[in-house]
Amino acid sequence: MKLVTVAGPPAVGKTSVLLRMNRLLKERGLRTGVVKFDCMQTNDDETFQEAGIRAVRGISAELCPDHFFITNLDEVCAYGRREKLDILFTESAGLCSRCSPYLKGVPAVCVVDQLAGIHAPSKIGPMLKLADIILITRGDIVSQAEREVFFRQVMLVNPRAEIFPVNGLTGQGARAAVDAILRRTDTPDEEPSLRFPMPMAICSYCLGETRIGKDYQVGNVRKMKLGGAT
Amino acid sequence: MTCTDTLASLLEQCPVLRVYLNDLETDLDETVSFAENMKRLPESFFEQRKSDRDAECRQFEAYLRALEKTWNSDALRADTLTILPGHSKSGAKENFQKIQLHRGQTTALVGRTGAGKSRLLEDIEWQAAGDSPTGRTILINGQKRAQRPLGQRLVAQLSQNMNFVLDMHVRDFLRMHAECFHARADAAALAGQVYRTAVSLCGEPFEETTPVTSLSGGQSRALMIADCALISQAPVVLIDEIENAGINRRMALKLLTGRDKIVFIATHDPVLALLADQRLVLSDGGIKDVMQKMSGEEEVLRKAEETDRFLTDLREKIREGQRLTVS
Repeated sequence: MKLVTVAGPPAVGKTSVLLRMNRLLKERGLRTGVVKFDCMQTNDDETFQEAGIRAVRGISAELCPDHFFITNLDEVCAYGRREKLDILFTESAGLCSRCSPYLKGVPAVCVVDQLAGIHAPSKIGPMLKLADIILITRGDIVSQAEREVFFRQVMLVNPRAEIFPVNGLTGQGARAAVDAILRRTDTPDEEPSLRFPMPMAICSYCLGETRIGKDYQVGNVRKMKLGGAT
Repeated sequence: MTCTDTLASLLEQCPVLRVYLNDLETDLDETVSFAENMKRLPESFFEQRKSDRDAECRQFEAYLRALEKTWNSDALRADTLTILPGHSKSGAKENFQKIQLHRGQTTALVGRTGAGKSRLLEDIEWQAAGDSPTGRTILINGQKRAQRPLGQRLVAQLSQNMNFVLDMHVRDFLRMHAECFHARADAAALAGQVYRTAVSLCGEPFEETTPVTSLSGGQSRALMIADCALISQAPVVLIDEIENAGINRRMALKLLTGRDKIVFIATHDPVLALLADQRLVLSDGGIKDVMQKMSGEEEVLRKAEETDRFLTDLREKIREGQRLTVS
């Protein structure tokens, strides 16, 4: 079974793009499945199931969604093997722009939205920088000039990646993306590991503290340097 | 470009390097080289990045080399585009041996809505190799997709439902686009040229300091066409239904083909279709016919343009509040 991690900021069109790609893979006779990680309620798994694609969802609720993702990955892979899948996609949103859920030796796909503006690529962080394949959505309604500038920005941030514009509504470009995924021959490490460490989050607020002020802050706390008159 | 050139001179030659330098998240002295900057940084900087001075310099050099490859590259040129036949939606084989298009040529795509224009466009953009729903193969300079450099964008598009969404004025916008491919000084000159060309295309003047989002429909189209012709590196241009934009269409096409682009126009407008060197007739998702422009059609075009001018003239008069009479 081939595992593919798909990530991208919230609401960029990850689900539509995945639907398009999975339909194309199904046409080729491959068994595919999607495990969707989210922190809030989602019905996206039903959207996949309606299209005849196996889908499971995981709601992280009060936990950090990225940590939730990585702590469940073993079990998710075991599920994929039980279902005898050819390809299993995980879908997650790197919410803090500091995370990237990618593993060494596992194809990593990042989805970004053209409408997020030309500076977005340099703000997304390791999720974009460490991806192997980058899909740009919503490019159909902006000028060619803006498309080219955005494409260039993405390329500058991650010169290694293959970049494809994909239209989630019409599916245009999805074929090229699928082709790129199938072409990859990554082999996962014996002992899988993350490409980039996840943010450390061990302060009182991680443990449910709601009060604000120095007295209530313990653990991994760092104060900003604000400058100005003392 | 090397890591011993001053950062200022590198940025002059290649403004987009800024992205890489910003990403180091530290203050750099642009009057000295990258290597010198690395020497001045404290050990803690390298510890945090899990690297050292040599590694950072090597990585920067590698980045410069990768960038040079995409800079004003001849690899992007397309002298010919060849379409090898596939089949229509209902499975009928397309009735041609091959269609070869050359740079500087214009081809009209005609047919009813849903006849297969988007499918053809997608085949071209992806350089289908018998593996798309149409079964067509697209060759660029006689080469298949697998032989071509990866990640190259082939098709630039101009369509009616495209908008500018950035909050910038015309000059800055054009410079930003030009700096994706050119040195800073060249980009500034090019931006000026694009602006002047756009104004002459639409005949409706606007300022270089007009925000791109407040341009009128005609002005936007004109700017997009001039930008596409002069700045975009894509060798193929698809113009999708832009007949009512109030721009000089003949001049627009001449501008694009003059820049050695292979131009497709998807259109229902007889004038635009007749301006093209040939027409691909689409039906049921397939290419039904390839028609070269006949000499007799020049005469038809002349008449169509006359009618067109007559209508444009009427439109103007009505706008100005004049009375109309038959002369």
